Amino acid sequence: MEFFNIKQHSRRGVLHTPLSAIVRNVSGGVCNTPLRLVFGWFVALLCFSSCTEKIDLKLKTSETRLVVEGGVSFESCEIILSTTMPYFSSTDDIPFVSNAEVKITEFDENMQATRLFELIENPIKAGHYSYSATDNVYGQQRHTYRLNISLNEPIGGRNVYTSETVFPPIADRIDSVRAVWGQNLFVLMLAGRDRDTNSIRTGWNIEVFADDPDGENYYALIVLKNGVPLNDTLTRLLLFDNQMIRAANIGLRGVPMAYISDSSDAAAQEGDTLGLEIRGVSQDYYRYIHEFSNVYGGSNPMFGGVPANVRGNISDGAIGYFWAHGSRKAFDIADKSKSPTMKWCETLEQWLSPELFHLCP
Amino acid sequence: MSIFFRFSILCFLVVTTLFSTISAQRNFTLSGTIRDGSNGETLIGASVLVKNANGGIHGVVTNVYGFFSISLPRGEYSVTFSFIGYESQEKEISLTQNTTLPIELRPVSTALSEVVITEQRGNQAIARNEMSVVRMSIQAIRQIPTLMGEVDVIKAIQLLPGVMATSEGGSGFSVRGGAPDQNLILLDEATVYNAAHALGFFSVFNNDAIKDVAIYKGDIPVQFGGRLSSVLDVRMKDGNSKRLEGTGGIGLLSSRLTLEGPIIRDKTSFLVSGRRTYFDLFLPLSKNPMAQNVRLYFYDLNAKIVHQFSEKSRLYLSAYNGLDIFGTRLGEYMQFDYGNTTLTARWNYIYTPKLFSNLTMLYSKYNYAMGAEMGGAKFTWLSDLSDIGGKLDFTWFANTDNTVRFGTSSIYHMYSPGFVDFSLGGSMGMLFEGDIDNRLELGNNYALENAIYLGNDQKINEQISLKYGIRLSSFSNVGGDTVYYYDQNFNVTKAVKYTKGEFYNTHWGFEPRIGATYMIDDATSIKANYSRTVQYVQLAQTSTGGNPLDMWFPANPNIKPQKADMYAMGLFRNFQENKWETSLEFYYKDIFNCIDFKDHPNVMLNPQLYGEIRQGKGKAYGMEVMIKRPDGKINGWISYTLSRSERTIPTISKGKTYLAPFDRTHNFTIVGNFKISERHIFSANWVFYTGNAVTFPSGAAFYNGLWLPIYPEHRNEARMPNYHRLDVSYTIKSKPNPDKRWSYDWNFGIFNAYGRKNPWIINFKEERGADYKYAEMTYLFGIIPSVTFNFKF
Repeated sequence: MEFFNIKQHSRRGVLHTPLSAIVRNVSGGVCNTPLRLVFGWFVALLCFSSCTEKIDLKLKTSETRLVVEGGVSFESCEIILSTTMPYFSSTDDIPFVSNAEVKITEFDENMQATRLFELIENPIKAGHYSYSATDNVYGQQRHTYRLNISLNEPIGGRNVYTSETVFPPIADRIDSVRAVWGQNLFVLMLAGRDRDTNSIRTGWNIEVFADDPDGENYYALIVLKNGVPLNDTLTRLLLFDNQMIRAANIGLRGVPMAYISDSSDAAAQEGDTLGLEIRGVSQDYYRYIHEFSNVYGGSNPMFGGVPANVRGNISDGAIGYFWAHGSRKAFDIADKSKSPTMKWCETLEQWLSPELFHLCP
Repeated sequence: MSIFFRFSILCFLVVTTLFSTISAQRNFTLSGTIRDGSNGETLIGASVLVKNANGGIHGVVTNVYGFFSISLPRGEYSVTFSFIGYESQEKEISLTQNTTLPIELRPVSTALSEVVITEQRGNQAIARNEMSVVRMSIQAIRQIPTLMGEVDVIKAIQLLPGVMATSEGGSGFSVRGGAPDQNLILLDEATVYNAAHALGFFSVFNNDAIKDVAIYKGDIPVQFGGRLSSVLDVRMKDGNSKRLEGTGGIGLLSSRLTLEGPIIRDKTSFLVSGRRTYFDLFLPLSKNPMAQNVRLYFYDLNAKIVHQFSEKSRLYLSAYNGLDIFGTRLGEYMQFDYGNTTLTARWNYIYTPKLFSNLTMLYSKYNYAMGAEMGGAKFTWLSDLSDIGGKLDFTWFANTDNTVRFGTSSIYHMYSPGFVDFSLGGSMGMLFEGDIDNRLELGNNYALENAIYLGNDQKINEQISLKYGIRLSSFSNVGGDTVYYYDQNFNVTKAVKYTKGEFYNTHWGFEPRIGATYMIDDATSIKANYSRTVQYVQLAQTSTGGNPLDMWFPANPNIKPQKADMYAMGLFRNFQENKWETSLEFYYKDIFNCIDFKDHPNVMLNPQLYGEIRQGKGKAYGMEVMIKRPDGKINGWISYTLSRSERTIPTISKGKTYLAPFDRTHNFTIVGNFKISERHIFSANWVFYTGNAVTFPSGAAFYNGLWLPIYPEHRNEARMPNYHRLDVSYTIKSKPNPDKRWSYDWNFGIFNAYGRKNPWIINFKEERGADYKYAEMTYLFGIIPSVTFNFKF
């Protein structure tokens, strides 16, 4: 019964962010969840048993388009080029694009060109282009990056594709994170007690202490357990923006941002090193990730609209996104004796205020 | 604008000149109400045929209140009153003064039925000066096989040409390429905003409480307005005014019980009817702990009281309430309810035998509530929409050749699109201290919808009849909430909070409607028609199936009202002395300010909903063929529709014209009933239609280790597989026994008799490891047998 499946990052997944969950909840994303559950029941009852079946469909294939993935971070500068393919293709079929000329020009805040990165294709991995800086300096905050791709063979009728993106500022440091064991608000709201144990779910809430620069800032979080990222694919990133934090006037001072459930595959034990990587992404990329997740999750006749393509930022109808952003990391050793920092009581109301809606597509 | 102005002046002139010439002649009026002699129910659409000594014939039919009126010169007449399924009555009348006749027709006794019906079948379908209208009695609807034996008005309507279900098993329907929210659904004059139970698998109309259903697919009479595509006019029974009577049924899904009878014989009658599903009562028996905790049912309650003060004055009070409940106690508690309530008070008053009036006061409400309570945290989401209003309608039977209708209506709409309350109790322990109570409210908004109309139905001569009229409507937004204004790129430019009661925006609508009928001979006619309709409220529905959370929202400064111009032409011919009725209709519809949602819309609980909407043009055209045998040993119909429905909206689908989601090229239906004997009836229907226009992926990109589907630039270029289904049913009636008051019947049915797996949705999935993708369909119904026991006492 996949059609009422909830997006991974909200229910099935290992991780929950109370903050973003609430806001998404109010904005409609997760409000679907109880409803979908209920509807799911109904449909399940109607069908008595599974009533899905694979079918053969002949799908039209639209014109081949260039797919661009990659960007500039503090540590790297990489671009992957491939093309679109018929829908029922497999990973063996991916047509990576070789022999392209890929350049990234850097501009400072006054739009003066400062550097030029000429990316070189990896001899082993076709279509993977990267730049290695001699001084090890790659992306810089507030600088603009312009991507120029010249293809050897035209794709989609063109040889040249461009894109431009600005590296958003990010806090210079993320002071620390704290891993605190306990319940999770999000789980309480939507899933109730564990079906098998009939007990309230417990897990590790990860609190964040960090600076939050002025302006509208958008963040994507990745949870690290013993150094291993648990959710680094695009559709499972935890997303939040600083406006809700601003509205609540709390800053990033001890807000629990991620949750690792004890009943999940990724359950953490005392003594594990738990950490967070915070990426400071642009508003447009933030939107892109949301759209990507929605499109990836598919739609159903009750809730989805007409499916549409994710809007990227590459010129001339190419698919994908050219991003520039940096990240910070911090870690803590899991220890059940720690107690939480925040009391949320006065602040939730502000988080729920309608002014925040437009931030949550 | 000026063209309408001129048109209305023309209307006025035509009408006034007509009446001045007519009043010179000395005529008398023959009027009355036609009822079912067995229970006192008024008969809608019964025919009155008046023959004078010279063999000249005039015919009229009764209106929705069973009333007829005809003006004739002094003289001797032979008048025949008839209605399908009833013995006709013939009266010799010497008209020397205005005469009122209360007529009671007796239902045909079984022995004589064939003969009487065949004799009295008229050529109404040919002669009536209206087209694109189908009226169905509940008896006819009951014969159609249905899902789980639940007799369903909307499912029956969906079998007519030009009417299509928008999703498998759903109650949403599209009329002539229109959207499901373009249908005005009326229950005793009150709007029903969501006619679906259980996600649309059943409709809200309990057949025991319903008398008659009419659908206007076009040629919408001037007294109706507010929707572009159609009017579904459902009338409840009045209640037996002769004796106490009960009807009921026990089915697999639900049970029904209706009681009706006189409070004062022939004066006051009542009807109370209830239906409830009891599927959920068996769930605790399930071994599945999930199923055990589910609450899942719906019910309908209908009530009506009719009081006749005199032959001239009658009062009708009707009420309906229905509710769907989905819930589970698993976890702690979660529930979702939605339902409609309607109340109508109507007062018929016959000022003179020529002037019939009806005053309606109405109230209608649709609301839903969703709640969850878990671990001390509570979540509530409420939304509702209510209407309160009145209508005043007059019919002036000016003379033999002219029937003038005029009236006014005024409805105040109250929208409360969303109220969310989110509270966390003290039990949150670690994260929270004390209680938290948070609310979110999307502003309530209000609107006043007014209309006046004037129309005339005019018989020019034996061959030609005309119908013309105009409806003038207005829609005013009334303050109370914050209105966002947008620039060309749909970014918010300003937010204005209007004070409560402030009229800050008004849209106007001029709706001319013209039609003509030309009788080629007694069995053949050509009809043509133009009508304009205007729609001021619409449903925020992004999916084709729709769901109960979809909310209605009004036109406002951001959204212009939708308008449609429809042109229709038809050829009607009866064969073998009206035993066979055939029709061929063509329609062409231009829709202006047609609505659709942008890509990636956010329609749920979004205060800036209007920024998600795009408007453009729509077009729909098609051909409808129907061959019908209204009664006889084998009766039923075959219908075929060839149609297309498209939209052109600048910022959607790159501005290219695309197919509407309910575009279906072919739609074919056969409905048949075979009376094997008086006690045994076999019925079957088969439907076939082209799959919905949908958007399927046309490629894939491998991005970030994931398969991202790529969609075509233009919407709805693919099709779902073709749909077809056969349903059959067999009815066995009890032996007719005049000594016993009670009777019963058994109905055995099979829905989807040959087990066609019609896809409800098609999902695209990938096997783990992301190296293999496939399409998977979900189908809702296998072969579903049903048995229903119906009784009457």
